[in-house]
Amino acid sequence: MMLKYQKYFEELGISSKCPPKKVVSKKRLAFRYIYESIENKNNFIPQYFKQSPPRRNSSDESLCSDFALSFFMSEVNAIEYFLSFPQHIKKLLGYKNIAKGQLDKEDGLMTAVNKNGHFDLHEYENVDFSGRFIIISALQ
Amino acid sequence: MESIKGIHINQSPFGILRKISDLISFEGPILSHFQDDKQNDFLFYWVDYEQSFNKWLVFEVKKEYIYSYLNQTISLNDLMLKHSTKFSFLIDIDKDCKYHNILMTTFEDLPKSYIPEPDLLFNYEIPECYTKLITIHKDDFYLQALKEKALYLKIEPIDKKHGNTVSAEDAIEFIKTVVSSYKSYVKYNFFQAFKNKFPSSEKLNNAIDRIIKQLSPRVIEAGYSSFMIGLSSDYIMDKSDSEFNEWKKNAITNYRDEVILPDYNSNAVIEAITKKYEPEERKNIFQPIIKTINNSKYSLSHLSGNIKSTPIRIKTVKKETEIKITEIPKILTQELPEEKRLVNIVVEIDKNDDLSNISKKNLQLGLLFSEEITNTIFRANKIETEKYTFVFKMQIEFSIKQEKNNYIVIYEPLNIKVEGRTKEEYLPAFYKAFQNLYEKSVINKDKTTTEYFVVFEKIIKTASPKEQ
Repeated sequence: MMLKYQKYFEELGISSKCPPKKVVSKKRLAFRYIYESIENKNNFIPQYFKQSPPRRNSSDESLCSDFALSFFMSEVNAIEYFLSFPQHIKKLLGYKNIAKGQLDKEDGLMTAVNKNGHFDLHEYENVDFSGRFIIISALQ
Repeated sequence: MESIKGIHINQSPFGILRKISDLISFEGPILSHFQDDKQNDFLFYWVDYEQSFNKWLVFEVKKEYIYSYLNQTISLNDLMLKHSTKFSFLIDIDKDCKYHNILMTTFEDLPKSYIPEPDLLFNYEIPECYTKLITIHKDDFYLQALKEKALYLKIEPIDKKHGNTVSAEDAIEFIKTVVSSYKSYVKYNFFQAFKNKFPSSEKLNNAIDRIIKQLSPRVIEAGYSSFMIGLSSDYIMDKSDSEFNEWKKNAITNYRDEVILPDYNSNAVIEAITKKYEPEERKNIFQPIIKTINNSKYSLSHLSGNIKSTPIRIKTVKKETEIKITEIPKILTQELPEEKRLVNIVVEIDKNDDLSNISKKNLQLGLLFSEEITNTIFRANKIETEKYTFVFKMQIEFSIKQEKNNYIVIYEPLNIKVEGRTKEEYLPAFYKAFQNLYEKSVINKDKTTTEYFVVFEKIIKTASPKEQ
């Protein structure tokens, strides 16, 4: 299956690195930070396409994860990760809630889960998460 | 975006920068480590964004402090305010990674919000490029961190019959005295600082025991011919009770400033000590140190940096000062506390009498039955705490138990247990514990109190905040 943002990998010349090599497709319960409303159109938009410029400080880094969606393996992982940020960073990120939903094999490619329970999802084309996630708790 | 004082610079003040790794990231870097061509190390910390750029705070730090940060020995706040060069730079970086609006400034001139909270430690996966170096230097970092928060003391014999050597017995006694005084200091000050954070005295006491154990002083340096010793509290290895990290980190230096270094012959110092500490605590914390300072066999000095620093002799304490600080008022030793009993009574009163104002005479006249008891149940439809009025769905019942001259109030569903000698002590203590647990569990949704959230949901009809 084609990835939703494959053409950008080619345009930017990063298709050899994106998506990363160690990825899997799995059915998995996942947790994601979202904005105040579940209807916000930016809730499931990768960083590269959001209104603010992509956050980069070095031209020699891969943009790969800018085209992926961030998820956590559990609500606790998501809460703990958010709590570890300085207040000011939390404010800049702008997220207000944690949402829960089911990811399916057909949704895309998932990177390895790190120590904080975080992984990226590179969506396949035509995947749409609207209506598939529900808000379960507010971020502090 | 706020206007910030500083000097605008036209071109990059750095040489060629190479990114070593992102240290914190989420949807892009938040904190990144760079190195220039001279191996100087810089951190880029994301602080703001606008339509066409992100703003980064850039500051120089020594490599070993970056390792200490990754090792959770110091916080990001420490890295910025204690271990960086005085100047920092604010740089706008656009989508093509070009630098704009470079402003050289100081940390003092930055908006307060740019500075992270003091107790936030690195809590992420350590990038692979650091893991080997961190393992190699771990012991060095640990010892270095302990040395930065240490108490250095020296005792020197007054009689020079054995040169400058101190007897082993005196050295052991001296260490035991300081350790015991320090532990009493930790116990009392931790209690004072955090007594309201715990829902019951049992939990508070358990925490005090843990903190005393964690902070038990360790010898980090020693020197002989005269006896010199560096003592420090390990606030690093045991990661439990991390919410008290900042307090734990500064405990020994606060002890040094408050117990070892003050001029005991100053009235202001005596007043401050007697105001802050109860006689029993003064006896445990200050008396052993004053006796050490006044010891006839050796003199006590403080060393400011390490055991090689120039010792500054601590002035002996006048006898009357010692008495003022350490005496226990006679009233406390001679007057036995009044013994009290709990009594269950049945009284006949007039229909319109208010029981809370009933006279002693009417009480005696109306008394039909009395029975001595050791515990009773208190019921409440609502309670008024400092910040809220709680109205309950149905009466809550908490038990009041008498033990010697103390009353223990227990509300089992929330695991609240408080003590007090009188109603004026135990009821406010109960209300306070109830309110604190409510805020922690329901307002702040603290994960450690999830089980109580359900109980609050079940019992509280309304919780109305009071106007402050």
